[in-house]
Amino acid sequence: MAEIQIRNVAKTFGTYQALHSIDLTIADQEFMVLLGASGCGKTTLLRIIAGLETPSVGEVWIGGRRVDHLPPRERGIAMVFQNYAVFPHLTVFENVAFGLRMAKLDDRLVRERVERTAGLMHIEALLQRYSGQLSGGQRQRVAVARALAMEPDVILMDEPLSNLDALLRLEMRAELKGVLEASNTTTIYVTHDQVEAMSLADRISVMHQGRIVQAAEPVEVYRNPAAHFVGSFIGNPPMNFITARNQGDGKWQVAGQQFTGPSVASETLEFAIRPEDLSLAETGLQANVRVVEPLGAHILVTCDVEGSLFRAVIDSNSRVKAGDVLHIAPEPDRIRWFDPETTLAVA
Amino acid sequence: MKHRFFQGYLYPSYTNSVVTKFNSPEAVVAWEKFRELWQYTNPGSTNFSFMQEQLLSEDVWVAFDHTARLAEAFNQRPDDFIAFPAPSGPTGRGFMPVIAGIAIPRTAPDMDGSKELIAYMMKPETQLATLRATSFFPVVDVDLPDDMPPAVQISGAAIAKMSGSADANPGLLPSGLGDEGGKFNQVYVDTFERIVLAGHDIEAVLEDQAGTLRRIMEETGAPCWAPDLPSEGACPVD
Amino acid sequence: MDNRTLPYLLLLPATLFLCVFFLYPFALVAWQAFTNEAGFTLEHFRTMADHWKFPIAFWNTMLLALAVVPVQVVLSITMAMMVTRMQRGRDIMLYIWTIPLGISDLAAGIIWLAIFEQTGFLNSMLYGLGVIEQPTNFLSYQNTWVIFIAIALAEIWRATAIMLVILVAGLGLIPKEYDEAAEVFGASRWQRLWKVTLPLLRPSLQTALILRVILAFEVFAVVAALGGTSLPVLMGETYNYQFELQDGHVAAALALVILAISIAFTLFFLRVLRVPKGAQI
Repeated sequence: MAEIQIRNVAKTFGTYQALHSIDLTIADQEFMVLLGASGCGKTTLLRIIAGLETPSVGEVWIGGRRVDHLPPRERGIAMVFQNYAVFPHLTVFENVAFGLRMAKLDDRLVRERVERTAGLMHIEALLQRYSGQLSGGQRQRVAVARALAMEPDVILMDEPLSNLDALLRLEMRAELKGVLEASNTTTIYVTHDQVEAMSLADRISVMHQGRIVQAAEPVEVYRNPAAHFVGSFIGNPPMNFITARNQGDGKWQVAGQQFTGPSVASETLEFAIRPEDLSLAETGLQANVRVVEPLGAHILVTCDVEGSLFRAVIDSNSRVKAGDVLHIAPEPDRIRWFDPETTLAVA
Repeated sequence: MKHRFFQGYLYPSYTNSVVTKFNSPEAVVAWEKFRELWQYTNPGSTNFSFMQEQLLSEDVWVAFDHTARLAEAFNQRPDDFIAFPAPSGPTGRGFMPVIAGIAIPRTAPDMDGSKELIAYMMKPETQLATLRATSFFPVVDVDLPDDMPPAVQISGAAIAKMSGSADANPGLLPSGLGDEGGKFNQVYVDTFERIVLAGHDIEAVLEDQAGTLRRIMEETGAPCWAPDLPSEGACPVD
Repeated sequence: MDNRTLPYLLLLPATLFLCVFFLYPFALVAWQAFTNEAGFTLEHFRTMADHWKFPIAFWNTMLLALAVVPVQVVLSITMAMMVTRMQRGRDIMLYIWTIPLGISDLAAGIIWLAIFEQTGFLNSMLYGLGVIEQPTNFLSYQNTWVIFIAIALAEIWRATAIMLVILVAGLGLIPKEYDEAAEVFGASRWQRLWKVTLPLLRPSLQTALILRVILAFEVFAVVAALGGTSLPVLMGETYNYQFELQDGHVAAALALVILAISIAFTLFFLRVLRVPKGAQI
């Protein structure tokens, strides 16, 4: 049982505030992904949970025990590092066994566990090799095996797939998901890759400038971004935004069209819609087509709607070419609204 | 300078010899006496070289050294130091005066110039100037003027007393050894270090070192010099 | 120019230099050690070994290396770790610690002589504190162990920095992640040092040890300054044979003995601190 609670954690390096008052609870056996661009503080947060950094303020609780003053080895965690950190002077076997040896398990048990995890990660044949004789993918497997062998309550992963080539990353991603689901551990996984986050996570915490902007299930994060940043960061291509003017009574004017939105007093709101929620129609937003990119099943149309850049993913049967003037209609129940001051979603 | 002490002072004073009686009952007595005396010396003296320094710093009160290496002590504190002759032993008062010879190679390119240089070096004024500057005493007969530095006056008086004593037993610097001069000296230094510093058995050490000495003498074929009696061929080691 | 010949051409000056100023003199020394007028002989080695001071000099040299080098290993590793962990002032600290490197070994010997001799600082201090009644001569032939300690101290003071510099560079090459990984997987500070840092430091440790041990067998000026003839070492005996006794043959034999010891220890460290193929960082 290892629920993780992060309570009001902040971290400053000199004058630079890396984390602002983070509160986050990760349920037992949950797969939590910390997603954000580089410099957003996700790795710092992971290292604070690991005990490799100390928080400037705040508390970290793992399994009902406050751990922020404890060294990493007393936290019941295991970690997979971005550059694997597979010890070059030890064989694969001794790498996987490292934590078990430190815990002074007897030889027979160590051998059993190493062989079991090696089987799980398909590295049985490599046990007597050194890391210099392994490929990047193999090293990755060793690093994961080393963490799994500990049978930890919590596994922390810092961009574990970022150094692999695209094909290998896809393969490892699926494998990791299977292995971790079977292992009953709580997992915190740091990445900047939204596809990875979507495919792996039970929940995603989107981080931006040292804050968690939204922590929710992948579909929720995608469909109902809690802030402008989430909408623009997640989704490829990202959400389209354009300014809407208040007409009163929950009516908003966008590029000459009227839409029903939230009944709030502010003069303007941001109107947001995902590219795949736009379709060609007789009436709708008037768009001047700039670029047309066939993607196979769909066409990505980049166009200009009253000075704002819009992208629409439309059916590949449509005959659209650059220079056309189209009308594109948003799916009414997929329109989202954001406050331009706070950038937060408005219902 | 300790090798000179053994060659020119200790051995002549006890054995009336430097080489021939190197390993003899008299030599055993000499080393026994020296070992006994050594306990009164400053233990640091194995590393002293210019005794004027230790005299001035008062690390030692009694010192044995070449006049040139004592000059500063007399010059700086003429009232505090006295010079006295080397002590005498059963076979007289051994000491080691220097006899210098000057020669011109037959092939010298400028024979006349060389002769002139030698004549200049032998002039009394030149000798006196050398004495003043270095405390190396004249090698020609010179009357010392009264205004000499204190070192010259003090040590000069002691040297005169020593050479003029009834039991004077001057020995010469080793000669005829060529390149082996260093090894010859090393025999005496090694003997000292083994007997006095390391406490080895005197007879065994003398026996052993005599072998080395004999080899050197035979290899170089150097004949004996005073106080050893002149030899036919290499100076023998008994 | 042909790309294939270029590397050899660039290596040529250094190779020629080594041949002329190392291999050729080495051959001459070896020739001198093994020959006399009559041809090949072991006589010079016999002369060397028969001299009463040879075993003393041999063991003094060995014991000095044995006493000094391990202390220096521990010190330099400790200092290197301290420097590596410093956030600020790292370079200044490193410069200060490496100052003794800029001092010649003879000067170092004289500095320590000024401390230990009868009129030296140590005597004045002890006398001033009332610990001793009168200045004593620490460096006399009667207690060679004090001379030994003084030489060891001077050597440690003078030559630890050369190892420090190599180890600091070596530590810089080890990614921080290894230490963090070990920490996460339960290793204590000591365990991290023994199981991770030191094994990863082997290549630098090897270089530092070989360099230092070879220098330790060549110890000379510091010994000459502090011990005079009271504590003979191999290099001092070599000097003595060459310049005092004018016997280049025996000096050459001694030089070859020193060379042989150096080679033996180099091979030893190459073997013991070997990093298996594929196990490099």
